[in-house]
Amino acid sequence: MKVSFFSTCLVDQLFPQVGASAVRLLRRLGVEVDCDPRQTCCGQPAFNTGYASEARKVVSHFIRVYRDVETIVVPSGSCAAMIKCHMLDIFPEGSPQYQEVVAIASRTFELSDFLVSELGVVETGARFSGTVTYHDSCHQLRELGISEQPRTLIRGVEGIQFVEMKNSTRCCGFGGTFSVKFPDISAELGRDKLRWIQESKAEYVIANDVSCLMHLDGLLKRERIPVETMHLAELLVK
Amino acid sequence: MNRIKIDVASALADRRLQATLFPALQRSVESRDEAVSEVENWEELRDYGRRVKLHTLEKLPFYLEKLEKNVVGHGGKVLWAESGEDAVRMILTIARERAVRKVVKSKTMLGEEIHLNQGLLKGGLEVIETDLGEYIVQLCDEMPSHIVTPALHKSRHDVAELFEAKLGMEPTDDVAKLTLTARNVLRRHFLEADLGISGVNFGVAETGTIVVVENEGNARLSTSLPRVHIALMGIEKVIPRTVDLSVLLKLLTRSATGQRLTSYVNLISGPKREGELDGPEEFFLILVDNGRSQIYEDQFLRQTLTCIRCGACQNICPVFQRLGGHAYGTVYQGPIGSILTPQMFPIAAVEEHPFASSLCGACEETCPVKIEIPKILLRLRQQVQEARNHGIQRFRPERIGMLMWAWVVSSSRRYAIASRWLRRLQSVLFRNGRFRPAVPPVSAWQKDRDVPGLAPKRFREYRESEGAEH
Amino acid sequence: MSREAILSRLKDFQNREASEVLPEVVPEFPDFDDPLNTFKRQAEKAGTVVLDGQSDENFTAAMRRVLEDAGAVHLLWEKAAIFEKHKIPFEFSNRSQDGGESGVLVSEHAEQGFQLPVQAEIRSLDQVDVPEVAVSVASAETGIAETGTIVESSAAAGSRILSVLPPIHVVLLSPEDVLMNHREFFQSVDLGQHESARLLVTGPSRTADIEKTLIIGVHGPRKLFTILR
Repeated sequence: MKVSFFSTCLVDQLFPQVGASAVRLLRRLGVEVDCDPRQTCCGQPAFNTGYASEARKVVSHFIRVYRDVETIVVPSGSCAAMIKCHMLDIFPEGSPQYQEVVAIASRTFELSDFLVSELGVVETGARFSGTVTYHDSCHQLRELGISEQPRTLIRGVEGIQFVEMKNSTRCCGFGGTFSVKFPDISAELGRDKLRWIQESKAEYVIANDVSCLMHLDGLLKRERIPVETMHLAELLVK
Repeated sequence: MNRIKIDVASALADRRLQATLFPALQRSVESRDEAVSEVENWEELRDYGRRVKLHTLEKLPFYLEKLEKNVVGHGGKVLWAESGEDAVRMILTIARERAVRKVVKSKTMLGEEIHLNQGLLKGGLEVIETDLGEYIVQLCDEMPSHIVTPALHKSRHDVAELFEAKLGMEPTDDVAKLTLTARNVLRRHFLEADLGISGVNFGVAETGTIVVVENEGNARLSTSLPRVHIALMGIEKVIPRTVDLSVLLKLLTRSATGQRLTSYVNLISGPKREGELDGPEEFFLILVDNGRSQIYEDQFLRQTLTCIRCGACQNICPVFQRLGGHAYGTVYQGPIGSILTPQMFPIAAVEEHPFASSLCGACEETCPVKIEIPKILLRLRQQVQEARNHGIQRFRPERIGMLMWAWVVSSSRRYAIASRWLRRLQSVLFRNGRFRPAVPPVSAWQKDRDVPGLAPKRFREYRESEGAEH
Repeated sequence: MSREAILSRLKDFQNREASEVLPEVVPEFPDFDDPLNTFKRQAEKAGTVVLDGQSDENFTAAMRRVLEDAGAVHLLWEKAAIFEKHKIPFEFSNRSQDGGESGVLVSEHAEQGFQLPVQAEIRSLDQVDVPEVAVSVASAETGIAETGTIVESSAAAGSRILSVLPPIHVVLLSPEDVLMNHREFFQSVDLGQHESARLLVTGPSRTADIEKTLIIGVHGPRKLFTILR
């Protein structure tokens, strides 16, 4: 099987090790991975802030990169949801780009969903001795309906201790540009999350979105709380 | 035009509010979840509710005229009000012609929306709210902070202090005693009032019946004891058939309070009939537009009008759970308020509101009629940005930033060049999780959070340097 | 005219072809093997006290229980028809001059020496100072098992306010009038045909307006009895 890996802009710029882990993971499972060097961003920052024509510009580039690709895998629930659920909303129905987005959306998969639902993977061969908890990122959970897949994969890690935290499905407060338009609420919601993470006694918090993790990690560091954030892909190659 | 800002700072600094709000809302969410989990075909009911409401909207003029005809058939009178001011004027006229002096009101959000109390007071009438929460809010001259629980922001201590000051009650912390005091005070008003005003949860077109859902019994009394009853109804509240109530009531009460059914559901078809022992001599139904037909124009945004005002989206919204209702500065607050208000008023007056959401989608997930709140918020965000694109506002930093960003990331070459330059910039300005000096939006981020900083090598370069394994 | 202005605006914006048709089939509502039992259970969950009064002895005992609870005194029957419909085994000790019936209720089924020690009356409400009434008795039109709900109608000599004004409210319900669920109720009811108001009652009056703390008995009764009769 061959896939094209869309790293997302945040992974590319801030968390390259997450992308590297995801690629290594896919290859370990026998998937041929290609990374198109032209890739940039899915356009979500502009779209979510109401800048439709700017989003359209970025998405048009995205379409140019991915129009001929068989399968696209994304290590982010939020970016996958942008591609699968929102890109359609920025082109008029019936326009050529609309048609292309329909096709691309149907060939795009969030990483954990791809592994479990498409490849039928339960165990990735990873070993990890630590206590982890899982944060459901909102778009992945509510727009893509992905909840069990990542948990299945976490449980499949040898030696791991998996504990559910209270309110794992409540938003961490990141919300894209919300985090800087309403920074105080954003941080407050993040601190709620930290409390539940700490109550769970986990040493690591796992999620499939580096955006949530970046927000939580920023708070953890500022508050000097000894809990580490880790993307699911990083865990699965341990 | 009055711009309404969201007052985050006061809400977060209010320690009493922060201590009571979230636990109270979480209890509401838990009761709702429990009540919903009992219903095997909840999703089917939601679909049915949504379809009935959407269908009604599509044929709104037809159903409104049908409702009108049937209400008149029961001896009721139907009035149509274009605006809030019109509705208030109509009520004042009715009151004057009948020498009304005292008015009892049961809960109506529409009444809040059109500032009815202020209007009636100005008209020389005595107005008493009779829902306990509304009464508390009225006594301290505030606005409700929640659709279903108006005095949610008040602790028992707040209420005790209020009753002590306004009603001369002995100091107490006992909620039962507070409630009993309110009961006794309000009982007198019920018996003395000449006019009762209620809201409407549903108006059944096929029978000319209005439905008022409540728990305290105050709506029953307000609509039965005074000699005149006026029901205020938004034009979007009409439903086609009696049988639709079976589903809509189930959706409403379980979502609102987690009750299988509220203590009372009033099904009112006109004034007192011959042979009946009590009830009002006259019944008026006022159908209020007040901006609703404008919302109606857009076929996507129109679904906003399917809302049945259960308040479940407020209960579950993380932002509302921290802010409470008052911070929004509007009558309808939280997720539903942030989609409703910008469509009823000039959007520039409430341009912050569609952005006061992390777009987590919990509201849509819990909404009993499946209103696509996040998608509507996104559409309204676009409208806000478009409305800003005039004059000097076109050069606002956020827009310039977005234009530059879009220009950069829509080309792989520009993206690569910008990546290199940003890293150079970072090497000068970035130390220990902070940028110095900081400009927005980085400053907003790093007030409470460390900044991760750009990785020394991008993902592409990182992979290349890892070598052999790839 | 606002009416025309609103309607014409709506008609302008209306899409010509309705794409959302009114669903014909109402979703399933739960059925129960023993609706009466479900009614009791659900009513009790909602805070209603359900008593059996199917035999005259039980009915008298049930009424006694109600009155003991009320510590009471002034009992108002909604209308004379209740006596007939529910075959009330009581008689009034005397008739009042204005045609109403009142006095001490006498029951031949009461335990020895027990008379229902109440002033009871049936008469039109404007002759009665309702706030003084401690207990009101009304007849339910229907019961709904699904939620333990009773339905009261204002039709012919029925009262709207008696169900909420006194602190204790008693509803007499015939077991054969219990319907399965809300779909059955709303499919069969003809709203407004004979009455100006119907009331669905599910438990006593309540509020949670202060700190979400549940308090029973706000403007309506603090106690709701349903006697199966």
